[in-house]
Amino acid sequence: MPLILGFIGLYFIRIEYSGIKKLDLLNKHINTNNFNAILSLLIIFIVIKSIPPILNWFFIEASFAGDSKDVCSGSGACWTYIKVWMRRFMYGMYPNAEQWRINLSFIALALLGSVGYFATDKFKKYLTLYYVVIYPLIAFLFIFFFISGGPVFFDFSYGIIAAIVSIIIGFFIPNKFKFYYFLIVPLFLYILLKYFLFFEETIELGKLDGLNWVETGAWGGLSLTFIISFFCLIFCFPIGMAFALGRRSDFPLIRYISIGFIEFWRGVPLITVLFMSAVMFPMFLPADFFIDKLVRCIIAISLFEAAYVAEVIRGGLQALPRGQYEAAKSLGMGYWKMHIFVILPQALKLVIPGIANTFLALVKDTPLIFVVGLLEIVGMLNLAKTNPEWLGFAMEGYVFAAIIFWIICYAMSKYSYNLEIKYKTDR
Amino acid sequence: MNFKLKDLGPQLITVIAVVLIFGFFTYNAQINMENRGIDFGYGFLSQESSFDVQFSLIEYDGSHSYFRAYLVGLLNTILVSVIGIIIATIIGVIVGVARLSPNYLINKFAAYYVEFFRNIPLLLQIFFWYFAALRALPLPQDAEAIFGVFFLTIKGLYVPAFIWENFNIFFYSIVAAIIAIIVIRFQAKKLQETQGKQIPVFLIAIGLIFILPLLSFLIGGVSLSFEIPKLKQLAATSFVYDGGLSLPPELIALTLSLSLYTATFIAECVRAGIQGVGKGQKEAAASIGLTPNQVLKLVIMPQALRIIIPPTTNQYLNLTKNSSLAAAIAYPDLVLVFAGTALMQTGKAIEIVSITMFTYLSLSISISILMNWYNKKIAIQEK
Repeated sequence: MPLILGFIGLYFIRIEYSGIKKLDLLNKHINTNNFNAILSLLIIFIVIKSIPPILNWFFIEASFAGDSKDVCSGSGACWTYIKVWMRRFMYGMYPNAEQWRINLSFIALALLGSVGYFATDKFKKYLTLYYVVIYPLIAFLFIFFFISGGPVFFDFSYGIIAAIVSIIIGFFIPNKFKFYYFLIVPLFLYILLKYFLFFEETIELGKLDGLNWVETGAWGGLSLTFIISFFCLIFCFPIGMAFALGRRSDFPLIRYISIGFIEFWRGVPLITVLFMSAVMFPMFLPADFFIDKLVRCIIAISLFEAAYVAEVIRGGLQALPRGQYEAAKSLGMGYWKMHIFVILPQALKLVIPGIANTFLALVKDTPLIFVVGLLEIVGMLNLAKTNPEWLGFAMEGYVFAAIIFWIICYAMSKYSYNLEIKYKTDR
Repeated sequence: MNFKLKDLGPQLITVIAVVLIFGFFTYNAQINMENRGIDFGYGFLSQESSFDVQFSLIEYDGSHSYFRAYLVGLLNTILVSVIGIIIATIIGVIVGVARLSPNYLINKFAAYYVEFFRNIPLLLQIFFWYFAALRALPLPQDAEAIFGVFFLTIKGLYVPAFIWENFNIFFYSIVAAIIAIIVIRFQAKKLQETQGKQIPVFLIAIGLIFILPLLSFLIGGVSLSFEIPKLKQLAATSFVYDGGLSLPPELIALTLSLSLYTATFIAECVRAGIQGVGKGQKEAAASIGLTPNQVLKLVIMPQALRIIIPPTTNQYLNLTKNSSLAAAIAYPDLVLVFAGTALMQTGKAIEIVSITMFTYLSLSISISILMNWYNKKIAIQEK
């Protein structure tokens, strides 16, 4: 009934030009013709009908106080449930007494990450090196020593150390041999580190005095979401870049291998990839080879997202005019020099939105690790929901997680939008 | 042929590295399987599966083979994907067009919808619908009928089942109608090109598609009746609906969340596509005297579709792959039935995971081939 009255009302105030500012605005925006008037009224109607119950549920009849289920008798939401379970949602099964380690690591990493904003011009040129090599290493060490406090990543850590050492040495290798160098030396270093140099010592290295070892099965909650997203972001980017270059390589064999890799990962769902990392991957490794399931997850997600990153970067490479390649070549630049100084900076600038979307997808995919039994925030919610003392609060939990994820993703997309504007150069 | 030794080196090393990695994996796999006493082979597919699946499109119970279980899972996956794609396309196109509406309210409403749903993980949305929203539905005995025949309860949606007599005559009539419409369209196009006459093809098509099946009812002896679900008491407090078709809540939650989530991405593709058509095109079309409908149909849409289709194909692929999240709420799709239950029972990890991955790979590739073909068909014919 109010709908019909409203429609008649809108029909009568629809005049070409009245001179009354508000009326003209109204006519122009929501009342251009009959169809629009009906739609506008419908939306207003839905909003008016749905806002009060939602507000009621969220705030007015919700219970915030107390720490037991008894306070939640009203018809509103029970935020007490979230309050009581907050630690679990944030840290998973990580022991309460040790949680300062996670907090401290995250605060330290956030501070170190913000160095870029405060660096003076003198140090600006080292920032890339810092963010690409040093910062990931520091982050890795933090997680390796501090949050885990035990032998979690050690097979993996040899790989990281080998990669970083070989990158640093790589700066001094002549261009001609760089390709061969990067194929052989990291692997060689890795084997050297693992089997000859400090095999016994590094197991001890993982244990700091005074810190208890917390195994990765106990990690969880939002902090695990951050850890996984962080590492996958770091790893999938260079891998993706390598395959993007490989796909545009002049060597047919390298090109076909890259195409095969990319299309394979893009064709399968992440959940089966995680299945593979959980049940199939251990079969492919020697029996005494220890890889933690968190690490397996990180590898699987990184490879999966790397294929998407590769396609995005390829788009950027293809969008560059041929002249850029030819100009770089005519200056006598080799393949690596041309790509690092001329092609990639321009191509990456072009694909900032695409990469941001891939990273967003990555963050949104992290809940899938429930497949291998790791419980980040959504997994913890499902666990908490089945607790006999707190039955029936599924809605509150999911709304809470949805708000958190929404804030993270929205902030990321806005940030990428700012980056896009900042680095936009007109050609 | 332009053969250079210099080019051979990097390629050879890459290939050797790849072969070495794969060789390392196979070698280990062989040793591991020998140690655990597992033998490799796909023979288990014909064995009796001896587990049951709640919801299947084809006849299935524990006495059927593992291959049949695989088919059940595959069909369930395809069912969810197809329904999801259809609903997501409808919502996506509506929202995408709404975002370009001059109406401020509609515009904002669509924008908020997109921003809201695309920034929340899909898994969370599935859980929300399944565990929180659909659990708030009434029990079967308390459910109120929608239009007298639909029942939405905590145990799923019950809809009337169709009972056909002489269904194949009805089916043939529809096929005949479609063929007739295609022929008429072809003729109409020819007529317009040669003589400039226009035939109201659309009206004829609508008429045909209704009249021919109707004739089959009147003359062909086809009859249709509905089986309406009825409440049945199993025990003192346990009720179910009997008869009719039942859609399990897992299916509803999954299609709802998949289509709401994917629709936001499709909406963005549609918006970008329509915005990508230059304003001049619209003005030029209007200036040669086309009506607004003709402008949309003959000028804007053909150009916009070219921009819209490639990214939308990606979204369809994503939806198909995301349907594997069904395993989280125990909807018996390919991952749950085959990579879950069958894997647990047989322990054949490598075989089952590889079959599952290969299946998804071929689903993805077939969708992308189909859409590439369509894309090529509507692309600009450059000379």
